[in-house]
Amino acid sequence: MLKIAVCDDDIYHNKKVDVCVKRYMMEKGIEVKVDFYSNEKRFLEALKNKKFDLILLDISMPELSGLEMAGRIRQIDATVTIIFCTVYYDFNNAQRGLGAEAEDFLKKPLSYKKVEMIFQRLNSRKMVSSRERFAIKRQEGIVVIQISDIIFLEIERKAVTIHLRNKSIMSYLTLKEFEKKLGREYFYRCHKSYLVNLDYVEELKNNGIVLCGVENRLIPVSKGRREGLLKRLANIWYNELRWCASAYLFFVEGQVLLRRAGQQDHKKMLGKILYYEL
Amino acid sequence: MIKIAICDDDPLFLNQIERMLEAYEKENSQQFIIKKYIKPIHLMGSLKEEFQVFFLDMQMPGMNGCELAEFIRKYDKRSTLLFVTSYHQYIFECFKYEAANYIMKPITQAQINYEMHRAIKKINSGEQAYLPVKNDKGYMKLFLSDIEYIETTKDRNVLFHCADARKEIGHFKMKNLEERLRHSSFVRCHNGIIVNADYIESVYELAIRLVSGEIIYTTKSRKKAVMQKVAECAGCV
Repeated sequence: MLKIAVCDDDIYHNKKVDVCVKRYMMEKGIEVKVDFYSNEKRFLEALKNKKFDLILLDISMPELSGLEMAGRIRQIDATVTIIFCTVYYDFNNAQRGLGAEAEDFLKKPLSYKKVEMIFQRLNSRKMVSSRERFAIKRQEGIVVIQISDIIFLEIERKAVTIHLRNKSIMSYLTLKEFEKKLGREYFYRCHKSYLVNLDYVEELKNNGIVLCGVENRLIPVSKGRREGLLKRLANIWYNELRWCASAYLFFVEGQVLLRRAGQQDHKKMLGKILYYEL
Repeated sequence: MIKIAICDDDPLFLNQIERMLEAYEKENSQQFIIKKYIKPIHLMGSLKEEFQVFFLDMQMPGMNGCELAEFIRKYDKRSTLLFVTSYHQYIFECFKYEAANYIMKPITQAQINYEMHRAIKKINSGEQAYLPVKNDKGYMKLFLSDIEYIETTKDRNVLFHCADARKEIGHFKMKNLEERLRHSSFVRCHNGIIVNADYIESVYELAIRLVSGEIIYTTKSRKKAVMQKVAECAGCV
């Protein structure tokens, strides 16, 4: 899974990124998650609890310039790939980009080809990065797993099953050991026998969690851990304006506790939120 | 010790940059070897000297900086490229050649200090580790993190399989290579293969599946070492 942040207040640009991402996911079968931020302060705030593989940054933001932004981002995360996108494709902006160790400098509107190339490069780099992987010893050999590809882990007949996007792997280690290794960062033990990747959480219902990529199945949440889960999700989603507003929206409806705005509501939502923000 | 090449058709600028680099060298107790080239063609002929930092002018007789950068990038994908020029319009080429920066003339000491500081940081970070390889295409640097695996060929050479599906022939002995690469993520999985553990996706019995989907084989006696290396590189639960 590639995790991408777009920090831009241009609705058309955001829409274009969304279209490119969807097409890329369809064509290559690689999961990509995009978070949109229209406010730079909020984005910096969010960056403190989240890690991204790529940040698409607008150079001419209203509050902080792209260069200042890049400097602040580098303070928080020194290795993330930054790519500038701008309508003002000129010398000064390009030089600023180079100063901030940006990897590329794109002209708006984006072209799919360019986006595809960037994602492809990013993905192949991520596949071999030792920070993003871990190995599981098995009887016949060893398997290396991408941490961000894990959707959830469960205990099934005393063995831990690791559910990935298109396969599942059994392991005889205990869930506790996995919990330790995968950190508390993105994984949450929502039940005695379940450990979920919060990046894949789509919806939190009264009777369980709906995960993206897992159909016809609800992950149970135990009573004692519900409060903590809600807090974690709210924490992650709060900074993303889009998620926040949509979460409230569904909260009112009562039945659904928290929900992430789906891809299809995105356009509608984004318009609403920008309006709301003004 | 850092090797630096400067290429500019104006000797005045060459000497100026050299003076500034020497000043930086003294101040930060570094060791530089600085080579100056007036003609790009001479620089192209001496890439075997394994420069780590390049200062390139844009407008030169016979060839411009972009063409020169393209040539350098063919043999050396990661060293620091810096364009020094008085023209604005080529700046977008920087991204294409992954240049570190685009410096406008007249160049100042502060700029040199900043760029050298960045370059040295990059060199010390370890991602710059490479293997100098010479074959009929010329001299080139193969960066260790780009090599998927190395196998022997029938005529006693070795073939480097690189991440971008590139293949390069080199004249090495497997034994020497194994010894040289021991401290990085490489492991000899077969008599004729040395593999980069970072590129291994899984080991199933005697077959090793790479991230690219390719399958190579290991032997019973070497399997343990391979698994150990993978666990060490990727981290085990």
